[in-house]
Amino acid sequence: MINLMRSEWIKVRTVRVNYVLGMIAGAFPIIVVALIAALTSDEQDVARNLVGAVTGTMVLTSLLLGVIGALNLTSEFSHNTIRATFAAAPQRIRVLLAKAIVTLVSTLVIAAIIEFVTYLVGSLIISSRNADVVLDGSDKAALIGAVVLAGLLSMLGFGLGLLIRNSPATITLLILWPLLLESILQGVLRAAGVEDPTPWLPYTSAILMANPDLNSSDPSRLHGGLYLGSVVIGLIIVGLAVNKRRDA
Amino acid sequence: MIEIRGLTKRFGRIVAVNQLSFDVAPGRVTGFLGPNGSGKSTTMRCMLGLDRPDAGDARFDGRRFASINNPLFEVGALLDAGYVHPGRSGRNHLRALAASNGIPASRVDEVMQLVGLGDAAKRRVGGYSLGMRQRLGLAGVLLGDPHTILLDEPANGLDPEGIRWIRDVLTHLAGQGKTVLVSSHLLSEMAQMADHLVVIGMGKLIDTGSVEEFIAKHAKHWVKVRSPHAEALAHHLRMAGATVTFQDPTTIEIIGATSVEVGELAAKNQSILHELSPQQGSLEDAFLEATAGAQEYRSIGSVKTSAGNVTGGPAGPPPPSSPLADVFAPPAADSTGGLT
Repeated sequence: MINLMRSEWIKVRTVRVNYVLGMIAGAFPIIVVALIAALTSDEQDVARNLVGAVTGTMVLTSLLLGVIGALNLTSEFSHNTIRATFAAAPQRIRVLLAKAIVTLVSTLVIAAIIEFVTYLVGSLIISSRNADVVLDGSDKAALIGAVVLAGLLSMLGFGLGLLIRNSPATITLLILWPLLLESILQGVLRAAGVEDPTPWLPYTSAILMANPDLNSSDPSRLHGGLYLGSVVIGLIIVGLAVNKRRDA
Repeated sequence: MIEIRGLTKRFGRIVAVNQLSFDVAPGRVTGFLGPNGSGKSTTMRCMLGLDRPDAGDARFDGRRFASINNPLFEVGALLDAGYVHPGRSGRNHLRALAASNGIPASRVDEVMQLVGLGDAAKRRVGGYSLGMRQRLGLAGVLLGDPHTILLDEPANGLDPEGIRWIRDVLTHLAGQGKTVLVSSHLLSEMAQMADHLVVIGMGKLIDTGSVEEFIAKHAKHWVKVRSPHAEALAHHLRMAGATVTFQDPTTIEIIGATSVEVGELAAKNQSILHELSPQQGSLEDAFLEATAGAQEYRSIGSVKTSAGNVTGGPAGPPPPSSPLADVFAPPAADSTGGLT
């Protein structure tokens, strides 16, 4: 398994598109938070809301990292390199699990680094404006939640990729999931008489993990993480079963 | 040793491979031949577990491929030179493969040098020519120095030097006792490279045996005679039941009599002979003959054989436009031909 993970890590590191997407994913929150910290007129207000700005922009970063997670798998199918991979390591489940572990761990590390740098840049700018940034427990939980969300979205992309095995279709579905699928599901649930459908929407409830200002009526961060995590695990299990049987 | 038993693969209603069974022995190059769409590539993918067979299996030294740990040390396969990410360098492509089997990066550099890609190792594969990709694929095959080698059309895109190189490499590997199975459409190359043949058509086994046996069994045989008394000799041969066709006024081609019989008949009738030589079709002729009923895709009209050069070495019978054409034409055509 270690050899397979080393192989997958080499694959992740040696494709330029991963660096390009990673730089975009990293640059976006850093630039946006830096601009907010520097340009917002009320420095005390921005100091209070720094974590919200960081985790809010990290949601988009998480989605981009999810795209990288999906591409790590689907590019193997689109370039047929999966055949060379399986010819070198025919135990498909182990290969795909190694790929999932490498994708998950690298996403978590990258997301943590991006978030740390974003927070550092924002707090340094705010400090230079003579305001203090104070982290409370909810802020810390949201910062951790944003990193976990990135990991879950990368695995969502991976799971969708396992089932769809096509890069454009997988990325489209990954992006449409929060924008379209959950909106439709929300409408259906409301029509069915569910007063607050948020707890039933995996992405919408998981995104609350990155929210430092949860309302009492919102589902907990744990609920959101577990729910999306369960959906992701389900997708991956089905995807693994399908890929074990299908022609490569 | 590779053993294929009852391998069957369907794609919907199409049976791509149908109850295919054959063995590939070590110590020789086995050519895997078949027309387009005959199921060669599907068979190779099934052997490696890339396509799931509907029935039957393939075993490498008694084991299924999927049960082999670190298969690069045991089975090296090049099924398609295009199975590479164009954005990755050749060296990194091989590093990823090597790492999956615990092969050190130093071996990657070795095989890159071995296949002549040392200078291009760090270039992205997207900029490689087809020939360079074939060499990269071969480097991947050689990574673990395996004792079984599967190659699907390895000469595609290679220049003449590259084709000769791959022939020498495969012959050398077989000489070391390795099991080598190679498919190719280049029949002249196969004739020089292969010791043994497995020929399939429409997913079924057509024949298997040595190259010599295959040619002897499926290619046409005839006798060529040059004589100033060709016309008289032709008369006597026809009387003896042979089929005779004139190439020119002094050269005849005879089917239905051996060179010994022709020589004795000429002596008996005091005919002077300037040439008396048995002729045999090429591997290409034998292949076309053997697979005539098993070609899924073929051009409309006759299949031309090798350019009418019936006298030269391995070349085969001439095309239909030559005097011998009628002799080789199907029964529906005018079989009286020439001066027969």
